[in-house]
Amino acid sequence: MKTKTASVNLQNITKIFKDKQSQSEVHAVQDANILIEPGTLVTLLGPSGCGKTTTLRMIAGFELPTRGKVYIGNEDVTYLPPNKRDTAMVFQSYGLFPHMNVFNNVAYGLKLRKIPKAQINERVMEILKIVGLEQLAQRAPSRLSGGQQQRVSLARSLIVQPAVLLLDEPLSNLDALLREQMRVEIRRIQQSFGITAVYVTHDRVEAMSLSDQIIVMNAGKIVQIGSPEEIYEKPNSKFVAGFIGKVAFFPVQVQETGKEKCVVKINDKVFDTYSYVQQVQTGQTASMMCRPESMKPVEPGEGILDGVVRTNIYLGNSVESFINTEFGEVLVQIDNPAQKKIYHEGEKVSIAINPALARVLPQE
Amino acid sequence: MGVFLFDNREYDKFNNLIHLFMMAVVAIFFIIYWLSQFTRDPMLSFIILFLILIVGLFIVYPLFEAVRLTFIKDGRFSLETWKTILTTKQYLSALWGSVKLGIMTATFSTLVGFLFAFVTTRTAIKGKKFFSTMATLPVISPPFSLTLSIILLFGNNGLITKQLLNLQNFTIYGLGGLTLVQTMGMFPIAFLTMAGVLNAIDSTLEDAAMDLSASRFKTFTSVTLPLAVPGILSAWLLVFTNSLADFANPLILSGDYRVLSVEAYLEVTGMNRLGNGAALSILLLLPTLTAFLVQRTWVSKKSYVTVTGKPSANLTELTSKPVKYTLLGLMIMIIIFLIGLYGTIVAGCFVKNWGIDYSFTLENWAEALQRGKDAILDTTTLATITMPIAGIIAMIAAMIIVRKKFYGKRLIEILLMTPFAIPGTLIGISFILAFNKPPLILVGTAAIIIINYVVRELPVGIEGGVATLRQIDPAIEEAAQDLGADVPTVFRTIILPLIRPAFISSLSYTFVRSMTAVSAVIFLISAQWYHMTVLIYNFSENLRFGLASVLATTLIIIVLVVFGLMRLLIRENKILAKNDAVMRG
Repeated sequence: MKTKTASVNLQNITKIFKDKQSQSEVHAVQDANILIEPGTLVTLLGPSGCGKTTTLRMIAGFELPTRGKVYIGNEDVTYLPPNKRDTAMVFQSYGLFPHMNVFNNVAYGLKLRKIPKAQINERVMEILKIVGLEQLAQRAPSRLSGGQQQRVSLARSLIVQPAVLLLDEPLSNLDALLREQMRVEIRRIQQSFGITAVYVTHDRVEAMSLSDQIIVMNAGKIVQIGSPEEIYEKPNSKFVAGFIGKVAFFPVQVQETGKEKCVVKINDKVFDTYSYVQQVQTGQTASMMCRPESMKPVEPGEGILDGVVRTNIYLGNSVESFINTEFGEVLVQIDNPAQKKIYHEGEKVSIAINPALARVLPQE
Repeated sequence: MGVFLFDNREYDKFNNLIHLFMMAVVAIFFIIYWLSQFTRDPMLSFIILFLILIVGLFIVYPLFEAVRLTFIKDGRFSLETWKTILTTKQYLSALWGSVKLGIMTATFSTLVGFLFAFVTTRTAIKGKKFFSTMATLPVISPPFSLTLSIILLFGNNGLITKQLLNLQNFTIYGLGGLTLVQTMGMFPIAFLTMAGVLNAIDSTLEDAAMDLSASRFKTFTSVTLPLAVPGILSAWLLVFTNSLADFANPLILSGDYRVLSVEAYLEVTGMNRLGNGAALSILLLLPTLTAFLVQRTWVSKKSYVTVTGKPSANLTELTSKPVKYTLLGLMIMIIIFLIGLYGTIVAGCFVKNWGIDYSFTLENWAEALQRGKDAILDTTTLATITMPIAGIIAMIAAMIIVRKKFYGKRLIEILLMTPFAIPGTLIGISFILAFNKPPLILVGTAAIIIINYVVRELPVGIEGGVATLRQIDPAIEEAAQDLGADVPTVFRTIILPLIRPAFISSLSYTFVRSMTAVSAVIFLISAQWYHMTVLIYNFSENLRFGLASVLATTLIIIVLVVFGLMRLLIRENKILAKNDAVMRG
């Protein structure tokens, strides 16, 4: 099955909701500029209320932006109603038509397009096969499991061959195991169709495993756009660093910033790092982020800062060690614990940091 | 407004022109305004425009005309009408009479309604279904029918008062008789309201009270009753509103007792004083609207009932055996009385001359059907035409109200709901005032009757549609729209099938109400388009109770048949859906 594919371009999008009760204005989305390349899957990631769903609904046409323009391909669709846009949305609650069976749910969009019956039959069965539901074509949606309903919803959107596929937290109602399966499936289908997709989620694992690009939003603003690797390894703010994964922050004095190096002073010890955000300047107080896997416990006095092991959590392939330090509790991950020395609860340790993996961020 | 006040005969033509011009300006303004709002979805804006047109033309405009008339005397602005109304003893006693009757009826209806509601929801008795069905029956009974049988039983030549007891100085006409007949007719409203509230009270609360060693009576007074208070107040206010708006019963049973609705009717039809009639019916609106607003805003917010989602299956009975059987006995007596009333109407059909000659005859049927066949046909036709129009508009309006956002939505919603709180008499009078002159002359046509039905029955249909729609996930409609369906297609293929039960009950409700209408329609009928209820009234006024009984019985049969058919249709639907699911599964 072929699909058209188009870019999505949001220019200076702002959406303001008026709260009638308090007469106040809520800036759901502020000055968002987004360019989504054709055929890529882009995730809008952020905590609830950050404006990601509103952004998605403006692409679909369910909300009208207060300011700004929405383009799909080269067409300005800002004022086009949803039914005139070449988008198809997979809803968080699936939105299956309860009075139609699976076949009719999937065929709905084709019927609206006045496609001959024989062709509808063929195409519906084809797509149901792709999502693995060809046996259940005659079943009512209420008699399907959550995962099956999700597949019907996906099939119903894909069959109209939209230029853009929109997914609004499609997996949030599924249990953990099913979520993982469906994640793989969605990515497989999206790539084999070569379809442009915008995916809204607050789950960082989902975002990292699915996306070509991640757009991190917070409080109505886009805070960073980048590939999953960039977002995880080179976040440009403490918010992004903390939202995308476990992390510890240490206050540091910036001694020197160069082309490749950023020398900081932590705990009166000078430390060389190789990754920092441009805003960080010499003489400032900044924040050094360290992921759990970029640190390791060493003998007291040997590392950057000392502490006491509070508790260890054994996870099989790793041990998560919580260490109390003067900067608070720090999580250190020890991979392949069978071969390493594990410091027990109450023992004094020091934390060593891998300078290649640390990054200096503005203090905020 | 200034333009309207200097209405003078010589300037009539000029005035009409201005009138028309103003309306055109307003219409054009609205069209431009709304179209500019909704260029992205023209269909939606057309629907909204259509609703605005209905609201403006058939709700706001007639009411405005009625109000305007009360401030005009001989073509000039004047307060004379109001001065007359507010100083004449006759009118003021009618106002007081209405209020007094309302208080009496509301109180008795609430008592009877609570009895039924309490027994059917809070005790374990057999035949609950029978009791609730019987207690809701009067809701669909035509006007005049209960009054008719009360007169047949307790009137001057009544079976009980004259033949059995031979009372001399007793009269059923007046406050006592009215309270009796209204209570019998309106306690179902109270019953339904309170049954809903009592049903929702979690019986674990009562268990908890008794567990803390409260007696059953103490539990009732300290837990059940306080929790039911908002429901009880609601019921009282609703019945009060209904009693005040009631026109049919006082029309033939009030005797010397004066109530506003009848007074207004007599001013208009008897004295041809339209201004006084309009003013009196506006006066009637005050207590009605107050009660309605209090019920809506205050009482409904005080409701304690919470849905716990954990219905307790076990009901601990609050009543001891003797109490339970006393209550049951009371209920059975009331139901027997009710059945007796309906039985009397049926009996009345087959009696030669009630009160004098009780021999069996079929002549009544022949004569009544002969004289009434046109009216029966008209009434049924009008109700049948109204049914789909009101039903579809109600569902469309419900969809717009629940799902769409636009400026002025709240206003349109309120205006669409107002006819619910406005006495039929006022609507009837304002319709003849508004539509007996250009730009819209409708008096004498079927259209004015149908429009009046539609406007009056919309609120209940809209409420039903809104309640159903709120339970449907908006994502379902958004999905359809997203796949390419425009607003009408979403309505046809998604919403209508999903709210079919609400749609069908709105249809049957509209039909029943249109068949049994009287207070507004009595002003709007004409030689071409007559209404059965008015004919029943005419027969009873001429003491032809046999003929009236036949027509009332016929009306009850038609209504019951249609009601039954609709119920069947809903059930059929459910069975179909179930079969479908099973077959497909």
